[in-house]
Amino acid sequence: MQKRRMGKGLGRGETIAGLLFASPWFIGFILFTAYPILSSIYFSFTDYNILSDPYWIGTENYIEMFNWDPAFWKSLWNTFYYVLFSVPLGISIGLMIALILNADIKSIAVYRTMYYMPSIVPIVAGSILWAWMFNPNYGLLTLAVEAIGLQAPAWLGDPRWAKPSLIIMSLWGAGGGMIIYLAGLKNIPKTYYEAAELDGANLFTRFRRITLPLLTPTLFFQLIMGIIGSFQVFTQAFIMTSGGPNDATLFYVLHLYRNAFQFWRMGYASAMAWVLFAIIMVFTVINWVGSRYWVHYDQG
Amino acid sequence: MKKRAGLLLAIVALMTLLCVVPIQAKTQVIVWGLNPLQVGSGNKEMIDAFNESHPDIELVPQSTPGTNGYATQDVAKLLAAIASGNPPDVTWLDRFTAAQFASRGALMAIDNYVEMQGFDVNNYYDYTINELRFNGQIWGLPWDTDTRPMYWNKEVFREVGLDPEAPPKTWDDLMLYSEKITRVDENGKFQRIGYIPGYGNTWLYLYGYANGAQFLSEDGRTALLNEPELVEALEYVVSFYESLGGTEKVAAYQSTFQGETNDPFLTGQVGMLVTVNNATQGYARYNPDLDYGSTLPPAPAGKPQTTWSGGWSYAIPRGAKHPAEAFEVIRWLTTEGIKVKEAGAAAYTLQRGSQYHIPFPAAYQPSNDYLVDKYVHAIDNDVIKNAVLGGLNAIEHSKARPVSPVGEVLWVELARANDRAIYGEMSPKQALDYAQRVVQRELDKFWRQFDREN
Amino acid sequence: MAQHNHATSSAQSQSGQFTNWYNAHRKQISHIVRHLLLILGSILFMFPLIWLISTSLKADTQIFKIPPEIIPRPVVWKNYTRMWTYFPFLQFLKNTVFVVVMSVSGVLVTAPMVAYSFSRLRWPGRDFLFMIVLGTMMLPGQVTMIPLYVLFSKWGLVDTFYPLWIGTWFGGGAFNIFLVRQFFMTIPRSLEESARIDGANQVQIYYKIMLPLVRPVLTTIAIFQFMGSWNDFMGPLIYINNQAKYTLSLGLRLFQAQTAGAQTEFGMLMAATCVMVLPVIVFFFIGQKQFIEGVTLTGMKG
Repeated sequence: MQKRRMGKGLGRGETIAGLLFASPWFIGFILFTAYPILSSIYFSFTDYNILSDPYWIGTENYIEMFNWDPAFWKSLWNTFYYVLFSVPLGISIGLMIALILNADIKSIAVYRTMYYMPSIVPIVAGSILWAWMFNPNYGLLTLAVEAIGLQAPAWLGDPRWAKPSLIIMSLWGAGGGMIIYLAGLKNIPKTYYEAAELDGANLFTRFRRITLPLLTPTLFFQLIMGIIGSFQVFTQAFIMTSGGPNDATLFYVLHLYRNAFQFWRMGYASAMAWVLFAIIMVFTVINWVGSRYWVHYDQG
Repeated sequence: MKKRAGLLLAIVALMTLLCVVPIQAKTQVIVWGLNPLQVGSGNKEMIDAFNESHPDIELVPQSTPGTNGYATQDVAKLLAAIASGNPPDVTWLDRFTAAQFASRGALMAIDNYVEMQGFDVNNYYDYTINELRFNGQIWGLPWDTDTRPMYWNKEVFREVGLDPEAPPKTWDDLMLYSEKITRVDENGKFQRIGYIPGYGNTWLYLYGYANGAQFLSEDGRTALLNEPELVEALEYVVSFYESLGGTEKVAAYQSTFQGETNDPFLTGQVGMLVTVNNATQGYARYNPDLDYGSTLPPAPAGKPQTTWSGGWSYAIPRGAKHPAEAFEVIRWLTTEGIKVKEAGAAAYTLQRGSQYHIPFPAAYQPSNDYLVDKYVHAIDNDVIKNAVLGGLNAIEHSKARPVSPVGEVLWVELARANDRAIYGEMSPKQALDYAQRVVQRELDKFWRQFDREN
Repeated sequence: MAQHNHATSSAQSQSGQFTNWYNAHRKQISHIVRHLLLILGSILFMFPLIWLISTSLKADTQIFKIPPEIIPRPVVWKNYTRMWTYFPFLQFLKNTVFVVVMSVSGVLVTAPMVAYSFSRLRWPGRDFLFMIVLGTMMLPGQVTMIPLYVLFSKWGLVDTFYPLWIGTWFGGGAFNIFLVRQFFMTIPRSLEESARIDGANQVQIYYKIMLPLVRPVLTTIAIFQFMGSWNDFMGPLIYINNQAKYTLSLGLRLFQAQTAGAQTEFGMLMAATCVMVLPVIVFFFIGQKQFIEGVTLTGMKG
C-alpha cells in the first residue's frame, strides 16, 4: 500500500520535474522554431517580398518549382551529386585514417590534432584558402597535377570540374569523422581480435568480420549527419563560385538564398525550404529503415 | 551652508552641461556600404572631409561585406532592415537594382528635397539619373559610371600585319581580325587569342545593344528576350566560340590568365578585349610603355557602335530617421565627395609606385570634368591619356541596363541563357525562350501586385 | 614452420629467413608502416595550412613565383603589421569571444538539463517530443531565417549580439541535447535510486550526482559549440550592422572584399586568415583529450 502511494507520488513529481527540466527546450522550441516554422509554411503559399504583406496564391509556388524553374532541377541535381560523392568518400577517408591511427602510438595526440585540424578551420577561411589552392596558375593543386605531367583542369572555372573541386575541398575536412570512428574503434573489445587472430584470420578478414560490423552504429550516425549536412551545402559555393560556371555549383540552398534575397521571392524560397526538408526527411527515413539490414547493435 | 552651496553649484553646472550637450550633438546619418578601411580607396578622407565641412551632421559609415560581385549579402541585410523599420539613413546601391527597391516601396523618393534645394539633377549623365527614375519619381543620386570600351594591342596588330590605327568596327571584322591574331602551338594549344566574347566585362547586354535589342518593352511590362535581335546577338557569341574551337577549350586557356603584371592583355595573350574603363589603371601601373588604344566596341555592319554602363548610387531607404540630412549627405558625396575620395585614392596609387592615377568617372558631370582635368590631362604619356579619353568618350554612346522591378532576375536569367548557349546545352533561341518565360512570369507577378496596390 | 624451411632449398630457406625475421619484427614493421602512412597523410592534410602560413609571411613578389617556394625568403612580417590598420582584429576578436562565451555557457547550462529530462525522467509524451527534437535537426536553417529575423527586429534586437547566442540558452540545439542524452543513457539507474532513498530531490540528484558524471561530454559539446559560434557566418551577416560589432568570420569576409579588385593584397588576406584560424587550433589542442573522451563514451550511436 505505502509503496504504491509513494510510487504514484513520485510519478507525478517526476512528471513535474521532467517538464521543468525540459522547459528551456519547450520555450525555445515555441519561440525560435515552431513560430518561424508556422510562418514559413504560411509564406510558402503566398507571394511575399518582405516589404509588402504576403498575398495568398495557394500552391502556385510549388507548381512553379516543378514546372517553371529549370534552375531548380539543376540545383537539385548538383546537390545530389555533391551528397553522393562527398558523404561516402568523406566517411571512407575518415575511417581509413582512424584505422591507421588505432594503435598504441605514442605521438597519437599530435597526429590526431593534425588530421582533425582542417575540419575546424572556419569555412570562410577555408574557402579563401582553397580558392588560392585551386588558382589555375599558382594554386598548389594545379602545380601538383602538373608536376606529375598531367594537364591541370581549370578547377572552379570549368563546369565539369567545379563540383569535383568542391568535393575535394570537403574531403579535406574528413578528419572530423576520424575522431568519431576512433571513438567507435576504442569501444571494440580487444579480446575479439585476439580470438580471431588465434583462429588465423588475417587483417582483412578481421576488418570485415569484426571491425566493420561493430562500427556500423557509428557509421550509421555519421551517414545520417553527413547527409543532413551535405544537402545544406552553401557557404563554399557562395564565397568561391557564386554558383557558376554555367550553374555547375548552383546548390539547392544557394538557389533558395538567391530567390529569397536577390529576387525577393520569399514565398517561393519558403516553399523551396519545405521541399528540401521533405527530401532530407525521406532520405533519413530510408536510412533508418535500411539500417535494420546492416547496422548491428551489440549488447544493447 | 558651504556644503549646500557647493551642491547647488554642482547641480547648476550639471544642468548647464545637459543643456549644452544636445545643442552640440550632431545629427547622425548612418551610411551603409561605405567602408573607411577599404584599402587605398580614399573613403576615409572623404568621410572626414564631410564631417569637417558639416557642423550639424555626422556621417557614420557602416560597411557591409559584399561590395563586389552580386552583393546579395548586402541586399539581404538591407531588405531585412527596411522590412523591420530599422534601416540606415543612406545606402549604397547598385543602380540597376534601384527600381527593384523603389517599386516595392523600399526607398524614399527624393523629389521634394531636389525641388526644395533647387538642385539640378540634369548635371548627372542622363543614363545614370534615368536608371534611378521609376514611376515618375527619383529614388537616389548616381555616384559613378563605368563604361566598356574596346581595347586593342597595337603591337600585336603590327606583328600580324593589321593597321594598328584601325581597330575593327563591325562584328565581321572583329571575327576576321581575331582569326588573324589567334596563334596555336603544335599541340593545338592557344598561345594567343584575338578576342574572346565573354572575357573582360561584356555580358549579353553588350552584344544585344550592339544589335539593337530592347530587352524590355517601353512600359516595362513585357520581356523581349527571344526577339530576333537578341537571338542573333547570342548566335554571334556562340559562333565566335565555335570558331575558336569551343567554349571549353577557350575556358581552359582563359584559366591560365594571370593578373597584375601578367595580365593577358599586357602579355599579349589577348589581342583585343572589351572591359570596364578602369582597366587602364592596371595597364598604366604594370606596363606604362604598352602601345594600345581604346574605341567603341564593334557592332553588326550598318548599325551604330554602342556600349553599356553600370554604376552605383546612394539612396535613402524608407523609414530613414533623418531624410533631410541624408539628402545632404548623398548630394555632397556624389558631387563634392567623389573629388576628395579620388584625391585620397590618387595618393595611395602614387605611394604604391604607380606613376599615374586614373580616376573612376563620376556620374556628376561637373565633378567628372574636374577629375578629367586634374588627373587625365596631367598624364604625360599620350598612349595612356588617349586610351583613358577613348574610354570616357564611350560614355557619350553608352546605354544603361533596362530599368525594371525585376532587374536581378533579368540579369541572372540572361547570364544563364548565355552560359547554356555557349556550353552547347541549348540553342541560343531555346536558351532565350527559357529566359523569356522565367522573366515574363516574374514581370506578370510583379505587375499583378503593383496594379492591385495602386 | 621454421624447421621445415631449414631442410629445403636455399632459395626457400632465404624466404624462410625473411619470414622468420618478419615474424620476429612484425610489431616494429607494422609500426613503421603505420608511421610512414600517417606522416604522408598528415603532410597532405597539413599542407594547405602550412601553405597559408607561408604565404602570409612572403613578400608580394614571392607569392606569385612559379614554381612556388614553401619557405618564405625573406620572412616578411609586413603583411601582419600592415593588416592591423585594415583589419581591427582585436575588436573583432572581442566580439567573437563574447558571443562564444555566451553561447557556450548557454549550451553547458541548458543542454544537460533538457537531456536529463529526456533520458532519466519519465513523463507522458516524452518520447514523442524527443522525436520532434531530432526532427528539428533536419530542418534547413533557411526555413526559419526570415521569420526569426522579423521576430528579433520586432524585439529591437537587430544589430545586437543577442540573436547570435540567445537561442543556445534554450536547450542548446538538438544535436547537443542528443549527444548528452546518449551519454546519460549509459549511466546505471541504480545510482539515482540510491540517492533517492537517501532523500535527495530531483535537483540535488541532477546537480550533485548526474552532472559530474557527464563532464566529458560537456567538453565535447562545448568544443562543438565553440567552433559553431566561432565560425558562424550567416548569423552575424544578417544581424550585425555596425562594423564595431563585427565578428571574426564576418570581418574576414569584409577584409577579403576590401582587398579584392584593383589592389589585391594576397599576403594580408592570408595573414588575416591565419590569425582567425589560430585560436581554434589552440583551443582544440588544449581540450582535445577530454573532447575525445566525451566522443568515445557517447559512441555517437544512433
